[in-house]
Amino acid sequence: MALIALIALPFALGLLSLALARVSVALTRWVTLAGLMLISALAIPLLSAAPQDGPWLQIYNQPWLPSLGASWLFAGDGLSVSLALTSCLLGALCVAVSWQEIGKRVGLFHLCICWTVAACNGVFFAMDLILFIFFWEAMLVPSFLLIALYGHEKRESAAMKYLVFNQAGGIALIAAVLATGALVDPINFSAFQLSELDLSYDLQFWALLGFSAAFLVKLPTVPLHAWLPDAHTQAPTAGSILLAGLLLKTGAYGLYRFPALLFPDAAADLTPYMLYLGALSAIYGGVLAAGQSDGKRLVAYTSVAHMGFVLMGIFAATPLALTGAGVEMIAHALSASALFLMMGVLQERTGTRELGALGGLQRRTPRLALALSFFVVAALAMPGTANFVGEALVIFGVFQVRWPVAVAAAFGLILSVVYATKLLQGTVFGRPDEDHPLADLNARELAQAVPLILGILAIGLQPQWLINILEPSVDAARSWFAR
Amino acid sequence: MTGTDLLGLVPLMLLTATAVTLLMAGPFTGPRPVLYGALLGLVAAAFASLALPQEPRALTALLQLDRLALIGWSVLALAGAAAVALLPDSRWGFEEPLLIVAAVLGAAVMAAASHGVTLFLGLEIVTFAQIGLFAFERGRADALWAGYLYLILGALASALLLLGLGLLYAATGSLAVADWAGLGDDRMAQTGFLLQVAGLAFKLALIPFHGWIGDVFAKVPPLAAAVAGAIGKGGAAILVARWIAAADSDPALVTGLTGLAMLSMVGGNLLAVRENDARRMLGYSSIAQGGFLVALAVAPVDFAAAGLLYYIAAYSVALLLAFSCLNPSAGELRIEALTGLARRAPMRGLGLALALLSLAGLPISAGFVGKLYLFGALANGGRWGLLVAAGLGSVLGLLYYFRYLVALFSDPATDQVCPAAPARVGLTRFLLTLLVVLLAFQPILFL
Repeated sequence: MALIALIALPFALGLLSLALARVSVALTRWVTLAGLMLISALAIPLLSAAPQDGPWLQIYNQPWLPSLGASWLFAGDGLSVSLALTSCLLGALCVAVSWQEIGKRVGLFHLCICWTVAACNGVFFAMDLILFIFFWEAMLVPSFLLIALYGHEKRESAAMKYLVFNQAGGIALIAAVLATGALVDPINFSAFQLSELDLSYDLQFWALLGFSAAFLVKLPTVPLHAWLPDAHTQAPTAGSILLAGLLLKTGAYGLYRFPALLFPDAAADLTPYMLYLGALSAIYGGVLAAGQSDGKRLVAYTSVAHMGFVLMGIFAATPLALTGAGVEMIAHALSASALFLMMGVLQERTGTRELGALGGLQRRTPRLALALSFFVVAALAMPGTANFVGEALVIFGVFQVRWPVAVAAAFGLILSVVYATKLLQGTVFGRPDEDHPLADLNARELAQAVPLILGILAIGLQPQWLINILEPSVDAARSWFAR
Repeated sequence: MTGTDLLGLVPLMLLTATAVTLLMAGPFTGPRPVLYGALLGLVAAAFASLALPQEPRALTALLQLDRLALIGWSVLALAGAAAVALLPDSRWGFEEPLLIVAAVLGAAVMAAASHGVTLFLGLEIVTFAQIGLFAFERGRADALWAGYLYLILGALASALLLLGLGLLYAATGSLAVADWAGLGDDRMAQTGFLLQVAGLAFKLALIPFHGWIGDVFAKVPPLAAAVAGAIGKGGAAILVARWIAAADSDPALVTGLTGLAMLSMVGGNLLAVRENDARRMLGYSSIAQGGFLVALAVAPVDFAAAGLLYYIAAYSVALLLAFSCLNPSAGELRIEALTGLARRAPMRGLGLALALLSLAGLPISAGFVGKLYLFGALANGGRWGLLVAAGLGSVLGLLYYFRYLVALFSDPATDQVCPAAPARVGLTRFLLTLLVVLLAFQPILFL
């Protein structure tokens, strides 16, 4: 039931916020913040339980539309419950960062945050493929509205680009799911049952292409990433956090969960191409990031690079690489959200995202400069931070499978130093255009940044607890790939 | 004709009796009793068709009764009932409910037609009822013009259809649809099929027979357009499905319809992308939705029929809801005028938003399940060309549906508070809003 609650409660909370906003805006913010944090607590007892039936911590199965072969089938393992926990906490963070930024249509804004969280949790838990595409499509609408209604100057075209790219992928996914499930007699969409079938190679191949189209666009990997920089840059801070921290993870999660489970033969054949795509993303994303002068855009491109590592880790399919990919998903959720939080703070203070116009923060706002430096260092995967654990494990894992790819990925790590330096030089060091005083991080902003710092350090310095949580999921994914 | 045969005719008789009684009573009772009488008749016909046994049987040589016909009848009748209940208070004569009943009757005849005569008869009843609905407000030159446009183009379409019927009769010596199967090599029969496709494509506004729909939707009263889109197209789409089954998926017929559907799914959405007039946008989107309906009708899988009925129901609900949320008297026709509607008139804003989501085929609306049926039928039937066109069309559709969605939730340009709708209209709109969501969770009603 906790799985259902993690989906249904944010959904209901969204409706509650919409209604409350008519009474009091401040109350809406507090209730949504507290509500999302309380909901996230539901995931903790799940994570501390021992898995049953393979990797699964909990399975919920009720018939829905028997004649269509669809059921309410939810299952959570260590990976998906950790991601759901992260998503609720990031939702709470989004409420907190928008305290001042969003002053109009507050109810709808909180509804969109809560519904995005609810739909993403649905994606993480749904193991019935009809249900999965329901949540997959449902993610689009609230996140689109967050960008299109609350974003910056070019919000509408950015939101439209986001919608069209992702929906094009979504349509491919829908066609692939329906073509697979309807072949079974009686018609069935349970991923568990479909995984036991002996699907023909042609079907596996085409269906996997459909699945991959949706996941690789969402991830995004390099040739399909064109929607990402605009959407991240134009979204409000909360929207950027949800996109980078949460929505990109749904693509990674999809690749982790489904290709090897449902289409093992085709997935094995696609593996080298996925590794190349991952390496390409890691390098090209870094090159693009290094070339940006808009701070938010720079951070957006770093996501492409980091998700390239996740892609490599998943398809290398060794225990090290899969663990690394899982850790990297959580680590990137924290570090990218934190960087967007900092960029939001800077934009709120200075009214610009241009790196050239910022600078000298270490003198003007020491606390802000320190926090930003920490997050930038985390993003370049310095040892001691969570990203290091993820990316190092991925590179070790990939090395065992295809060493040239691992070498290329290591170049991606070097590039991350280049863009990190550029970001730091443009903000923390140097001399600003106008040297007027800036407010340092206030208590509310510190309360947002410090938990993120602690989270990144907790995984970076002592990763074993997270690795233990992910272990059953890693073993399961590996056994699917090995079939 | 036996007693059970007569029983099967009850829904059609109810519709005819309602229309005739109201026509005679109307001048004496005034509009209000006629409106409620029409509502009663339509709902009664809907329940009567659901109560009838659904095993396939021929009802005389002219009509075929089966699931497709009976559930189709109830969907069409309920859509008609919603249209009647949505008639605005300010301006309706007793004729309008009557014309809606007649349109439903014609569409119902089309949906069960197994013979050239009923096919043509049903089509003409719908067409003339629609002309009446379009041009009813004689004082409005543009509505009158739209009525004429439809009359003239409709006459052309009917002529093509008749010529097609004639050629088929010449080729086979029969007007029964069942006798038209297996005529693959006969040039005359093929020409007949294609002419019939042209006639029906006009009704469904498939490209390139779509010339009327933009102007008609933009100029006639909103509900008249909704009736044309929901009921007229619904009846025609069921007829297409029935025909394809009867003609044993004749290659000429299927190829022709596939081509038109592909053109319409992509072209209709392209036409709508830059459209700033909400009613014209719904018209162009209706071209694409007609393409989706035909795509479902030609998909060779056994759940395609259920999918078609579901899609018609979902599209009817969304279209009626969308049109009922526009308020032409307040000038709410262009996208700029709809800005902030969700704040100024929350019920209408929510209704229109859900209707647009449903047309776009996204959760949590009925259109999403409709899209599942569509893609499922095309993927499993191996209609890859249609699948690609449908995917392209539905992505293009987002470009304009979501532009309107953003406008609805943006900051209002004026603080002008909208006048409340009469209770009957408000209640119907509320029920349709509920239905858009509920249909998505219980599509089982249609299986």
